[in-house]
Amino acid sequence: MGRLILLAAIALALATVPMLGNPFWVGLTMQVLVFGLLAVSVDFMIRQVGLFPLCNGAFFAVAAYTVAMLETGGWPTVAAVPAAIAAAALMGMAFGISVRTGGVYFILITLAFGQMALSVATSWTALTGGDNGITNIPYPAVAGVGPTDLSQMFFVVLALVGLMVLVYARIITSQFGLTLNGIRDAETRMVALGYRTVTRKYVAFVISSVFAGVAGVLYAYTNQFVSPAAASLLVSVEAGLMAILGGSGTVIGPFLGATVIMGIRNIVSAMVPGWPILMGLVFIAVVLFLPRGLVGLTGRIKRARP
Amino acid sequence: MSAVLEVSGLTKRFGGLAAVDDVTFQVSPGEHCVLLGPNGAGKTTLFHLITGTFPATTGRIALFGRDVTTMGAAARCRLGVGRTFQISNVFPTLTPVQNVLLAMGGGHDGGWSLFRSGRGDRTTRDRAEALLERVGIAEAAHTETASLSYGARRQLELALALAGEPRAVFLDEPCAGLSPAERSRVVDIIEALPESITLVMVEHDMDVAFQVARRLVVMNRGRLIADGSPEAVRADATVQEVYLGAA
Amino acid sequence: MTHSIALQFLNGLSLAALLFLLASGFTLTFGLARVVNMAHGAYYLIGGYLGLQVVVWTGSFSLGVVAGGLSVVAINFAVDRTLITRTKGDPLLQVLLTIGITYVIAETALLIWGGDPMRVPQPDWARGPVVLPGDVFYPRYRFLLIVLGLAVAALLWALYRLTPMGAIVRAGVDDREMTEALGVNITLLFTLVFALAAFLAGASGVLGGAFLTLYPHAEWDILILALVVVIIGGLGSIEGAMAGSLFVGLIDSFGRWLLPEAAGFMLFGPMAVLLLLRPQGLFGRAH
Repeated sequence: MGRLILLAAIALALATVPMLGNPFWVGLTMQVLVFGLLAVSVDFMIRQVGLFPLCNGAFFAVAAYTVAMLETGGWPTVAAVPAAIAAAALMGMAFGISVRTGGVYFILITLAFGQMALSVATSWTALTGGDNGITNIPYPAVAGVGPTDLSQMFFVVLALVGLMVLVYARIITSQFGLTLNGIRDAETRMVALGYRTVTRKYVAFVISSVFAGVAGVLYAYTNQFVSPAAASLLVSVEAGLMAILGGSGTVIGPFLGATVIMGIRNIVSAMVPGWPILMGLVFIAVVLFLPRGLVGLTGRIKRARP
Repeated sequence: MSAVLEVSGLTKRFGGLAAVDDVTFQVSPGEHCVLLGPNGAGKTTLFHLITGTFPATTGRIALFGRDVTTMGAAARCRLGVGRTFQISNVFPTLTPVQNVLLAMGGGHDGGWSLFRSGRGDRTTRDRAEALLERVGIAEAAHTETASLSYGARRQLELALALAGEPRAVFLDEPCAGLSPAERSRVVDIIEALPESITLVMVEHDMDVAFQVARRLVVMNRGRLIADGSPEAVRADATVQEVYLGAA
Repeated sequence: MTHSIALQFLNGLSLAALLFLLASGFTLTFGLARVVNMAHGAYYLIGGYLGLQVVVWTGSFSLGVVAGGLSVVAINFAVDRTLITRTKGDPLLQVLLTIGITYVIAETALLIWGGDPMRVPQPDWARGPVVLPGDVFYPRYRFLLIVLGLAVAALLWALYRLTPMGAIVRAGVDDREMTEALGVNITLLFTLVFALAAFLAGASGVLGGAFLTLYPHAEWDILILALVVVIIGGLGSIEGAMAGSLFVGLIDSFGRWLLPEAAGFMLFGPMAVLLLLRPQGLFGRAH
């Protein structure tokens, strides 16, 4: 219950961002929400299932591109959005065979799968616009009703991300979520109890791809432009970093991680050349000093108190 | 009624070594059968073959009259077998209650709902807590399993084997490493198992074996060397030579 | 038509030769020390740029290859001793850490050498075509690369299969504790294998830079291909790296020729089949 109040308070605080009247901060907050949701999809696999996928950027990108192509091709939002999420889920079903492996193999295979899908974004120019990408994606509209400016769009994103977070919280505390935790803790024991663990990991993988797909849809609408930058393998990799950096399997963690990473990408990058070096140092620092993430850090501070 | 467990001509080779060598025996419903043997006799390997951890080199295994020789471990468990591991294999980051809830759902590969709460309904939770009471760790039911003592985790291990209302339980040295008090508790639980549950247990501690068993199967160097009531086995000359003789 | 097929085949072989140099180091490092070093792509890139610089200064291509290799040996030594050891064998942390190292190295290279593709100048003795049976004209450089790849593969295989040191490495791949129990000086062995892997990665950057060019993001492009090699071949297996390189090199080359739009995706099919039939890779051990 306390958590729900905390989430509501955060949502309320975020709702005041458009009142600041600065489109930069509105845009950045939207980016944090969107990429935070992507990080949630990775965090789900890491903390609930115990697998580290490096292909969620591909689900994100395929959904973003699908929305972009369909919306600019004249499809209505109510058709384009389900199609985009279905595209991400289909890709999830195809890549899901990677759950037949585990550990390092799984990391490497998902990275390779993700990059294969992403390479299509640059090579299949007829479909994706190549390096130019797809521009002029309209805001979403259902039966003619939809956001018309940035702050309205902001509230749409806030509401949808909030909804996804609630759905997510429900899933990880569900019966199915418990069985995933069992697999994470002791897969051989789950097998000995009679569970079909590989099928469960596969389903979890597809769920993860759907969350990443929703994030991709929101990305296309908020950015109104999709290019290979959204389909870079760095998106997958940084989403993983956001999840680890946030830490400890809470719903807030991935958004904290997203705040740091998007801050570097959008604020630091404007101030210094060579900012990716800083990003690299963040990766290294997280491994060396914060392997349990920011949320783990507060836990440590709390425990350190007398 | 067909045998619960039927093993015929079972052999497992690792490289040149036959860890289990042409073993044949049957366990009938309701039997309490203990596999006894010195270290390296092949009992744990035999146990792994029966539970499906790895495949046999040759031979046939049937559970409840069904040939399971090529069946995976999970499918064998779904036939109605609860098992323990020699080294405790429980869910460390979950609570004992959650451990048991998972064990209760395994027999039918349940727990697919994305929206029904993983805490289970009232009656399920009550059943889980009652089981933890039975194995003697009720007071720790809601703490993190990783923080339990070694003995408590062994008892939880036993609870996991029993939770799915199995027709048969296969136990792999359930008393290994326990204090005498914990040991007698585990023995009590095993002895109190209902008649309907068939027990197959691997043990190298003779005191525990003779206490629990109504039938003893003795192994040495991968082969069966004796099979019968505890009294008969105790009197068996071969057993005395290879196993009891030293003691 | 047959000419084109022959050319694609040779292109595939030369890419395979390059990939083998990179992937064999990656796979050995993992097999022996259980270290996943994603920075191999960045090693390729920085080795290539440094080697390029040496070629420009000295005019000697061979010197450039050696310099590229040795500089990466030094970089890897520092990275391993100061950073990778602190991951304590956790693969997730190793992946994140070495990705971070990749960011740092690649961006440093971008700041120094800029964003335009650069080609390592090929040596005079490797310029021009060779004429192969059937009147196939093929660039001499890439032909020599195939020969070099075969030679290195043969050498590594002999080291791995026929020498006492190779026997210890193989034992270490199978069972690390056992090797340690044998009282083998495992630290020295690790250092040697790491150095060999790093040298191959750095040298392959120079060799690859002479026909694929060096450019920002090349570190990822080459890393992914090397990873696919290792996945198909099986982590930790030198024979797997050979088979995987051939496979990936040929599929990539024919894919680019037959279906350029989706060439990058062509490798998905064989990988998916492999995952379904043999998830541990062609030569990998079940894990």
